[in-house]
Amino acid sequence: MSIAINVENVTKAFGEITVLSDITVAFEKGKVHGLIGRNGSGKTMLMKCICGFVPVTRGTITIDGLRLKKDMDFPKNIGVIIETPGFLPSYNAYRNLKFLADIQGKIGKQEIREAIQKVGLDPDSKKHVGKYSLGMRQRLGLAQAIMEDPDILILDEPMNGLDKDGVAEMRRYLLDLKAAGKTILIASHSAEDIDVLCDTVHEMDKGVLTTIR
Amino acid sequence: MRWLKTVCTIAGLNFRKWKSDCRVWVAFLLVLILIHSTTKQLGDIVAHTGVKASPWIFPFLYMPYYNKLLFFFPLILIFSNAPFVDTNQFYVLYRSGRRKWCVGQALYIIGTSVLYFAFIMLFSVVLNLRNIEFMKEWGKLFTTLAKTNMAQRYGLGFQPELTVLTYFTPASAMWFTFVHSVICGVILGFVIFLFNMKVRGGGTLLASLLLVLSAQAAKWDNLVKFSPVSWSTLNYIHLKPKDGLPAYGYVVAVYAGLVIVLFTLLLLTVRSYNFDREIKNE
Repeated sequence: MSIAINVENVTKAFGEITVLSDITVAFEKGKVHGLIGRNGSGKTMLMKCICGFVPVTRGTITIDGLRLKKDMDFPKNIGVIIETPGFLPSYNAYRNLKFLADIQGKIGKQEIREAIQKVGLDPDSKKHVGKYSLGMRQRLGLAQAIMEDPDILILDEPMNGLDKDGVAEMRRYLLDLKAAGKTILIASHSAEDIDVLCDTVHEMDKGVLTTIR
Repeated sequence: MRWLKTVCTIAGLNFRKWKSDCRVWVAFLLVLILIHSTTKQLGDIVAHTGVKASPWIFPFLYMPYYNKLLFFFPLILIFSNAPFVDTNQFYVLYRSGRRKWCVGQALYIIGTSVLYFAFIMLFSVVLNLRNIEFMKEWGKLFTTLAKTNMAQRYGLGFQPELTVLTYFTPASAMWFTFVHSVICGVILGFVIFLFNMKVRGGGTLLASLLLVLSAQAAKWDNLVKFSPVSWSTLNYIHLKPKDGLPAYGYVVAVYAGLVIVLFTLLLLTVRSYNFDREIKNE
């Protein structure tokens, strides 16, 4: 069994309030791992800690054998959707992704266009992202997460704002990514999403993580 | 080269947000109003004397300490949301890493300061085109204004300084005032960036306080040495013998020292900075 993300005794506290309590979990490579739990249970915080956005109070997070903070600032080779996807409202989808792609310079025009097409948006559309619906922004969020073909995807509520067809498309697409050997950590409120997509399921409650499948 | 391109892309992303950021529009509009209200009496003086002014208004525009306050505050307004974190920055961050991200933000502060003072320089000319005659020298009108109380009588918002007219050519006065102002802007921007990472809004408050105290300090000769904001204009730098003002070498050393120390502190602070805090408070 090869481990993609290893979380060991992670605690995150803000003063007196503990939002993650001594969490230990290993996410296997090439599988889809589900995180469920009520609002405010700590799912998003755990994801933010794994992504390196929030430093942990105690414990270690290792991704592909490299320790966060010690060996790297942020995990290499990951794609992320956290919070409501934020883009520059006065630019179209392609320009928004181009700005982000230019940071690493790993991909070109073609890959960006493909990523936008894969999530069902039009790469030639001149429509500004500010005029997008929540569902369209969510799709564009997924496009930015996948465009550099990362090995690990961290997706916080990726189905938010999507209509029925959009959800079905997204599920199909995530299953394709799984078949391609990607490791996906997904947080969702939808039991159906978790059933259909996930190989392992973990429940978060008041900062405590329990593996339920 | 790749590193530089990444850093420039990060800084560029912030500039692209200006289009939809009304704070920036308000700041630049305020500057236009300030330039207009500071120089509007120039038209009366030109009409009365029949002599047009030279275009070198910029070095004198915010020489009075209260003008400094007014001209620097819109820049503080632009930097007030440092460290410029929004939901879009999550996507930037995990691609760039903390250090490059921090350097990108610092570059944005430098670029903004350059643009801001270039804007003031340009519009001090554009808004007064009717009263200006292009020439290489300071011109007769500025010399007269520096030697008499005519500026005061007409209520002109700035007063050309005779020492500056004597010791500097117009081009060098423009250049030094521009560079010093940009450095002051960068220092204030770095202070806001650094202390906003520690306490949300703390940096903006501290920079505003520094600006007020620094400008006030210029009123007392013995405190000018501790007032980097004052040195943004040439009237607070040692030119004449025994004027008691800080020497140019001292000014350069303090400016360089402040920029280096603040930049180093930024790099150290960003290592443990909790980016989530800014989003939560958005």
